[in-house]
Amino acid sequence: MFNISLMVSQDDKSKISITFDDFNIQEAINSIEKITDYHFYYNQNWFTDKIISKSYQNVDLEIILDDIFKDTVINYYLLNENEVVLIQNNIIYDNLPKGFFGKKNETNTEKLKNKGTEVKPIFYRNNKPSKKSEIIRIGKESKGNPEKNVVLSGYAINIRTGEPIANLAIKIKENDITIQSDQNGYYQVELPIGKYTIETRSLGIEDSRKIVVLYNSGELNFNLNESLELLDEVILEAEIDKNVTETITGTEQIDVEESKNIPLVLGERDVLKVATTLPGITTAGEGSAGFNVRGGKSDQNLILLDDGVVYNPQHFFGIFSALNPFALGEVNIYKGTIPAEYGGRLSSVFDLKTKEGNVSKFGGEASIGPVTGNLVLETPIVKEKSSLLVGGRGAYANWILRSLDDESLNNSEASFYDVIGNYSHKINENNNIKTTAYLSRDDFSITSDSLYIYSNRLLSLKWDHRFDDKNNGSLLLANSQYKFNIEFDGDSSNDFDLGYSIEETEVKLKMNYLYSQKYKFSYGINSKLYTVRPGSIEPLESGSIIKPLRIPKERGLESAAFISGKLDLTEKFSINAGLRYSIYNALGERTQRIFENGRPRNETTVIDTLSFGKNEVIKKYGGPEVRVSARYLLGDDFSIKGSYNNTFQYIHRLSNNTTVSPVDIWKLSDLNIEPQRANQYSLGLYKNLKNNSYEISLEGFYKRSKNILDFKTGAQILLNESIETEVLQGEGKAYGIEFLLRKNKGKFNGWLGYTYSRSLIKLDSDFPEERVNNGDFFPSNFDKPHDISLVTNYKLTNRFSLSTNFVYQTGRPVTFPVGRFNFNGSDFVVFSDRNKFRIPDFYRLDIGFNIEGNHKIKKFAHSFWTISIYNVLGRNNPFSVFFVTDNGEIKALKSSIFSVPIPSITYNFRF
Amino acid sequence: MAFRKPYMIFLYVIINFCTIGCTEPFDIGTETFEDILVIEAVLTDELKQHEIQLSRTFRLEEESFFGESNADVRVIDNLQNEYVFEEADMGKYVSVSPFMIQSDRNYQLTIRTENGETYVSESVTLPQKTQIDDLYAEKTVNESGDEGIAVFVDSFDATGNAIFYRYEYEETYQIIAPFWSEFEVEILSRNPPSFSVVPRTTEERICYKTDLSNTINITNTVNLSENRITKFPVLFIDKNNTVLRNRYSILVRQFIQSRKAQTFYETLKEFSDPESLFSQVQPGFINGNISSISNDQEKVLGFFDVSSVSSRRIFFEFKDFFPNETRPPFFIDCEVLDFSPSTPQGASNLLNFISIGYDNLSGYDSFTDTYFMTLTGCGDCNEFGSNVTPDFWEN
Repeated sequence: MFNISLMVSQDDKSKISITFDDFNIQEAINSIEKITDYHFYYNQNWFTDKIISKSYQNVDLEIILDDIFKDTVINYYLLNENEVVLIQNNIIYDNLPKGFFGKKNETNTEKLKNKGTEVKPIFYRNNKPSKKSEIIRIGKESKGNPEKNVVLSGYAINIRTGEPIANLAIKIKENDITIQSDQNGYYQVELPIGKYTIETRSLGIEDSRKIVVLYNSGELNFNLNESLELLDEVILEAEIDKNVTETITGTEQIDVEESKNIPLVLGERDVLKVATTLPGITTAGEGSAGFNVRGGKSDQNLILLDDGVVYNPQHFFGIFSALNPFALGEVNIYKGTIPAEYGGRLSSVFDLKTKEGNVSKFGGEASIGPVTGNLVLETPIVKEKSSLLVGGRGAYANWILRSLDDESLNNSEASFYDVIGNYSHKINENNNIKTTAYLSRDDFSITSDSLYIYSNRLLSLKWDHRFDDKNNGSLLLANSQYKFNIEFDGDSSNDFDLGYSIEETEVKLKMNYLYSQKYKFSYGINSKLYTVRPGSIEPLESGSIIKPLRIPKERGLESAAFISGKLDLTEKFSINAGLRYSIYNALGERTQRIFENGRPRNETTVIDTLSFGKNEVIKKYGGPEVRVSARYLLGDDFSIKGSYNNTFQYIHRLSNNTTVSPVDIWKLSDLNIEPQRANQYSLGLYKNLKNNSYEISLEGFYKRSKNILDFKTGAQILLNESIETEVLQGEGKAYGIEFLLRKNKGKFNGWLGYTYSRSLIKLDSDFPEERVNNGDFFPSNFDKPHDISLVTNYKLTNRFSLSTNFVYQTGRPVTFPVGRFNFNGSDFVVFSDRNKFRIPDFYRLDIGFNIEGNHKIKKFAHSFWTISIYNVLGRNNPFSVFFVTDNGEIKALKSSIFSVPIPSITYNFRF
Repeated sequence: MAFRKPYMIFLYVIINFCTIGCTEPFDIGTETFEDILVIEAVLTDELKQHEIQLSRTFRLEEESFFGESNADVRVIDNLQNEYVFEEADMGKYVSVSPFMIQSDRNYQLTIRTENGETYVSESVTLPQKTQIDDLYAEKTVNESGDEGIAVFVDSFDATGNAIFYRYEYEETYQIIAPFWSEFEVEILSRNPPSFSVVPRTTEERICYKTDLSNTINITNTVNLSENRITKFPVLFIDKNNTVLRNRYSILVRQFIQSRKAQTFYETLKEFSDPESLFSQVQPGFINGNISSISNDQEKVLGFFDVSSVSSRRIFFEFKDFFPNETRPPFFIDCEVLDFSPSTPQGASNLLNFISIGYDNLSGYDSFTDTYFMTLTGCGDCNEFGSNVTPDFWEN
């Protein structure tokens, strides 16, 4: 092992000849130090067990170091003529790349690998160097330097916000000089050459200490953390050029922290609403729950919170998010290429992760606004190892309903709350566990005798395990439930209590294998058991003559195996190839009706009723799902990407409303209802400008889907024992082009998104009663061809910023009356073909003004005020147009949710 | 915690209370109009001359509908009996001879319109007949908190076959002119005006008015353990409604219909009911059970159904429920004006007021020659109803 042979070439001092024979990194460095003047600075713990065997003749040090640290996460920096600094994850840059701030705060290399991102230079925020003293050499020592005094200057910058730090006290210990940085964070001091200890101090900024050896005039920048910040709070911004270099198409990341500046209705922070300002993600209207991604129905989105499914992530008809914004860490949305590990929904995956509690100290964040109060607390349980985060949010929304100008809602009530908790524990270097629990609930009553309740429940437990440097994996166990209840308590004898619930339990094993930096793989299996209790109705009191009815429960098992690989074939060409094979089994115990072939499905065409025993397979569906994407770099900051995706969806949300309602039921595929399928193709161009301060992307997609669920006109859905006679399954077609221009840096930042897209449905059949609009393609309820969003944020000073949000959308399609007719002594309207007309276009401007609390010394909390005006222009955007027959007369009415400017103030603070 | 004076925040929250979530009238204009044949055909197990109504759809801004004339309308049963209907009025077709729907037969409607299109219905059968067991009125308070009288139905079908119920009703109420007198004014001369008081010639004090229901009243027993309709509210009458001023009667007809007919009526009702602010039922064209033979793309609106019917009538009066309260006001405000035609000015005033409607003499003071006049309707009930007593009327 220690068979070293060394030979230093005398001819060229800078060239090295050396041979490594089964050396590990430590030994290799030692031997370089031995034969050269180079001195290395590093931490031994960073080194892996990598073995190096190679010999070099008259080569540069860099070549040797490149080999040594290849396939590791260590970078080196030649600090001076003979000093080498090793940094884990980091490359030390002479100049900071523009706008590296806010870079993902990941220190765990394994996590980076998990995400399939390249290991790129990462600048720490929460590592310790800024606290510890580092020795920094400035300038070169030149013999007989005539200058006695030299100038040290630089900038102090807040790493988290990228903002300059003003009034930073910079103390030169040796000379007892203290200077302050100016408004731009700039400082300058004249010093004799020599060695100095420089300490910095400022309110709200972590103290730092640096040892500087000053040879010449030079620059020293201070990149400092906020001391009051929760240091491990995740700031989500990808690597600065991620949008260009990433292989997959159609991804969006939302910066949870930045989203606080975007003005939203009633001052409520809502990352999902922010998502709708990005191209390709829309809602049907202001008061409609659910999201439509690239022309897909709102049931086609897999919304995951710490890997558990949330069926309804919104409160109060979609006006407020049901996810606590303070507890969210990371939001990734996949609308183009859906990674192979996810399945079961056609259009998108919203992958939301809660942030982990602070492992070093107790902290929290709270807000109070006109509608809700919110408090999130985090505390270490075992210092530096485990932490707990708990959050709760409650609404006092009744006054909104009372103020609605709708007589029928005057007596109504609404309240909601959500609570979330997570516990994360770092057992050791190789094992981490995280468990999350979530509950949300809404109660509302629109008339005095009925009460609607709906709730989400979620539990997830994830164990991350690292096997070795190349292999790691995670095991997930998740359970979620969505249910609603309608209680009717009138005067008559038919009072009832009606309930619905869907529950799913999932086990998922995912493994990652890092073959090399260029070839990375992940694979795994998952299985999910669904139980749907489609509804039961029970008499509320003994006097009620309601017959208790329970529609038999439905069960299904959805299982899949997946494998995907990210293959960097050349520097420029990279492929991400995934394959998922999913199988769905509809399980007994149930009865299924068989309908005569070639006849419309109704009561009279039932030819047989089959009974299936418990766990007996009623019907099996499944197939391969291909998820392929490729990227070719046309330049350093310019790429083209394409992808193909196909997806299966085995569960369906049934809704005969034009917009999503919380009491829509989910139904599993069975003998008569087939799974939905989709194919999506996308192609895009991505370009970054001006050192990545501007991002431009243009992405087109074309999507075809099959077996999209719809209903016969006027269908009854709740408590229908033969829902298959009401269901229509049709084709979907969506296509569009999405443009996004984003400026991430600077005082003025934000984005402009424009989408042109169409979403069409076709419901055709041989039988007129199963046909809609003559079996032709027609626009879906959320087909809005033009969609423009402009979000801007202007930092006036460190404390004040002004944000605006402007939205313009084509009015959504509606079905208008095309005439009247007299029937049964009354006049009724006759409606046009479905969605033949459109409501007027939608536009809205919101303005928000944000005030950061001042940084008084020893102030316990950091405060943040948001003053916002929603719908500044007072645009009366119609949400829907409808028609009532009142005393035999027809009246056309339009309803709007927020028709006047709505001001609000929210107070947030963090401690 | 730096949680200082959270209540202060609310002082700054200024919200416009009236206009969040407004519902307001909307002018949609006539974007397109579709001309569609409308068929309303419910035949029953009553022996009578049945009626079928044919009309066309009309524009939203138009007042009323047009009957479809000159059509050939016939109903055929599975025994090939043909019942021919003839047009009695614009679009109203009446069977030539009385007949009743029999429970063991299938019926089908065929229509040939003037322009040569032929329409046929699906074949339908008569559902189980069920009696109205009880029809009664009770003093109640409705959902909006108004006091009044509600009319309820009880029914029970022991066979278990009558599941879908639809109700129609006819309200008949007495109208008593409050300022009726035995005399009337006779204009002897207009120039110069001169008048005399003469005995009234016709009975115009007590009249009757019948109103037909125009709402869709349906219920079902699908989710009930037995086919029992208990206290189904057919109608609510506010206690200030004039129809309750005098004696009141209501006839309720209970139709037992098919599932398909129920769906048709339910959809019709659903599309015309006010919706919740946040969700709207997807509207669309409502398919009935009649289609065009010649062109299967053609839309046809309407339904052919045979129903078994049972009816019941009750009478009641306001004081039965509100013994100590003032009965509802009359249809119009009856102000009494007095005129003395002994002066030329008074005579001319009287003549002018008679010409604008104050032509009912409610009293006459012969000592002062003063005429007490009211609006016609205050003394002549024919303004509001008919003075012919209906056959069924019981006092």
